[in-house]
Amino acid sequence: MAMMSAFGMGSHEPQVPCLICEMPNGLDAVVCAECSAPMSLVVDTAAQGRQHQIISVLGESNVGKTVYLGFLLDMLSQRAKGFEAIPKGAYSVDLQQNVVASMTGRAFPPKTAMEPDRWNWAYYQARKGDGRKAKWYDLVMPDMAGESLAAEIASPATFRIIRSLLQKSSGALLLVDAALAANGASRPDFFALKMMSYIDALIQTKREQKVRTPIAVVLCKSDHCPECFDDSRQFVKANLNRLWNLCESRFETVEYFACSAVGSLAYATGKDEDGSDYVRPVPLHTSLQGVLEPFEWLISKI
Amino acid sequence: MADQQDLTTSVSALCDRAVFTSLPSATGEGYRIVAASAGVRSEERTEIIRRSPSHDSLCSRAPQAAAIAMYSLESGRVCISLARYAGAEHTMRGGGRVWTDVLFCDPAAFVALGSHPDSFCRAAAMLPPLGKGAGAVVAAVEVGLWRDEGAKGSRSWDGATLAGLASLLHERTAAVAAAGKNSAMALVWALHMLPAASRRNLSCSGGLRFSRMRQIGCTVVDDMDQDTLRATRGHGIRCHTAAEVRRLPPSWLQPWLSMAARWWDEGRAGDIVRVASAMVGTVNAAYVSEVAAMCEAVDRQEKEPAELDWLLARRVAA
Repeated sequence: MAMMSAFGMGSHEPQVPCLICEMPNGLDAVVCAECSAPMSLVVDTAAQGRQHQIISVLGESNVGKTVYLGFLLDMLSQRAKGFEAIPKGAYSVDLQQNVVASMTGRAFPPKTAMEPDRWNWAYYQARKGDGRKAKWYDLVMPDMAGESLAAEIASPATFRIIRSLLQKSSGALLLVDAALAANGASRPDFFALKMMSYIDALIQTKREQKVRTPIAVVLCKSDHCPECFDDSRQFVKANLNRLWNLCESRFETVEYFACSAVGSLAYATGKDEDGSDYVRPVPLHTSLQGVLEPFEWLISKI
Repeated sequence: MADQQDLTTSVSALCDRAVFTSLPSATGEGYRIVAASAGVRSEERTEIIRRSPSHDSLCSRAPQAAAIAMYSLESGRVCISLARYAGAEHTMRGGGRVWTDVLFCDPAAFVALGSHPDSFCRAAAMLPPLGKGAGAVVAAVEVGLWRDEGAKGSRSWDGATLAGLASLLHERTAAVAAAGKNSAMALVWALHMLPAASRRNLSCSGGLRFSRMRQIGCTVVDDMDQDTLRATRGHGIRCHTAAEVRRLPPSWLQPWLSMAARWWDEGRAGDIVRVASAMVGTVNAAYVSEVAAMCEAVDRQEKEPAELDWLLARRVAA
C-alpha cells in the first residue's frame, strides 16, 4: 500500500483487487500497482466463473524457462496430444510468438528482464480431449526471470510478487539444467534445493505432513544427456541427489521428466565490441521432446 | 562569467560501491550484485537488487548509452547509480549487458557534494573495470566535488525542455517525462538548473526505461512508448511527451528557471551551475525571484556581478 500511496493512488475511486497480490487497483489500471501483473487477468478469469489455476514455471537464470513455456503454449494451441487450449487476450500469445519467431531465426529468445512489469504472462483455457465432459482449466502462467527467483530465494520479500504467485500456485514446473548436472556441476542441484526449500517454508505444513502442491521437475537440455529419457528418476537420484532427498522427505506429489527443445546446436565464435571472445550458441533446429508430459501430469494432479 | 571554470575537488566523500550486472560464476549467473565494498549492508543489497536495471533496461540500445538514477534508500543513505552497456551478456541472448555501478553516500556528504549525481557519476565512470568472474573485491570510492562552471551546455535540448524537466523534478510528483534523446544527460542538466537546496531527497532517473519496481519519483526517458503508458495508466503517474515537457505549468521557481533556460540557450551552462549550486539553505519564492532579478540586472549591466555574488554568498554564510 505504501508504494501505491507514494504514486498518488486515489482512495475514493472504485477499485478491483489484483488476481495475484490482491492489492486494490483503479478500474482503468492496466497492470497492478504493486506486483505489475496484468489487471486483465482479473476480468478474464472472473468472466469464466471458474476457479483459476496458477502454474508457476521456476528455474535459475538461463535454464530455459522462456523457451520451455513458449513451446508448451505453442503445442497446446496446436492441439498436441488431444489438448485444446484457448489463449485469453493477445498478451497471452506474445510469449509463444517471441519464442517461435526467435527459434525460427536460429536464435534463443531475448533474456527475460528482472523487472516484473516486463515479464510475459499467459492466460489459457485448456482441456484434454474434446468431449463435453472434458474439464476446462483456467491456467495463468507467468514467465518469471531466473534472477528474480534467485533474489527472492536469497532474501525473501525482495520480489513480493513471487511469494504471492507461489502461495497461490496450484502446481509448479521446476526446470533444472540436466546438461550441467550431468557434467558434475552442483549449481543446478543447489538452486533446485533452495527453490524447493523456499516452497516448503512458504507452504508451512506441520512437520509430519508433506507439501501436497504437485511439482513437476523438468530436466531441461536432456538432449545433452539422453540417459535422462531412459530413467529420469534414476538420473535425479544420481546427479541431483540433494533435490531428490528433499523431495522424498517433504513433498508428496513430485514427478521427474526429461525434456529437450533444441534438436541440434552449433556454436558461433567471434569478438564482441570490447574485443572479448564470445561463443554464441545457435539452435539449428528444434526437436521437442518431453515438453507436454510434465504439464499433462501436473494438471492431472491439480 | 562563462569563461570561469572551477573544478572543485576540495570536498570529497568516501562512498561504498556495489556492482550490479550479469556475470557467470560457480554459484550462479544472471543479474545480481557481483561485488560490493564491505560497508554495503544486507538490506541495502536487497533494495538495490530490486531497484537496479536489468537486461535491456536502458532507453537507448546504442553501445555508448548510459543511464543514471538517484534515490534515498530505506537505510537513509543516498544511492546514485550509473548504468552502461558492457559488451554482450555471456548467454548472448539479445541486447547488451547492463553494467551498473552503485554508489552509497551519507546524506550529509551528499549535500556537501552539491546534492547532484554529477560528481558521483564522473567518479563511477572512471573506475577501473572489475576483474573477470564474480566475487571480485571492490573498495569504497573517493568522490570529489565536480562543478564545471565553464560548461557551454549542449544543443541536444533547448532551455525550455530542461526548465520543464527541472520544474517537474521540483514538484516531486510521480511522473514520466520524455526528453527527446540522451535523457540521462538531460536529467543531469535539469538537476543543475534546480537550486541546490531543492535537489535534496529527490528520487529520479534518466535514460532508464520506466519500471514500477524501481520506485522512482520522476523518470526521464528518451521517448514515451506504449509500454510506459500501459504501466502507468490508472496509477496517478503523469506521462509527458517531449513537447508537453516544454509547456509545463510554471511553479514558483519559474523566474529562476526562465532565467536558466535563457542562459542555456545562450550557451552559458556554467553560469547555471554556479548560481544554482550557490542557492543553498531554505529556498522560497521571494529569494528565487530576487536571485533571478539580480541575474537579469547583471546581464543588462545595471548591477555588478559582485552584487550577485554577495547575494548568493550571504545565503551560504547564513
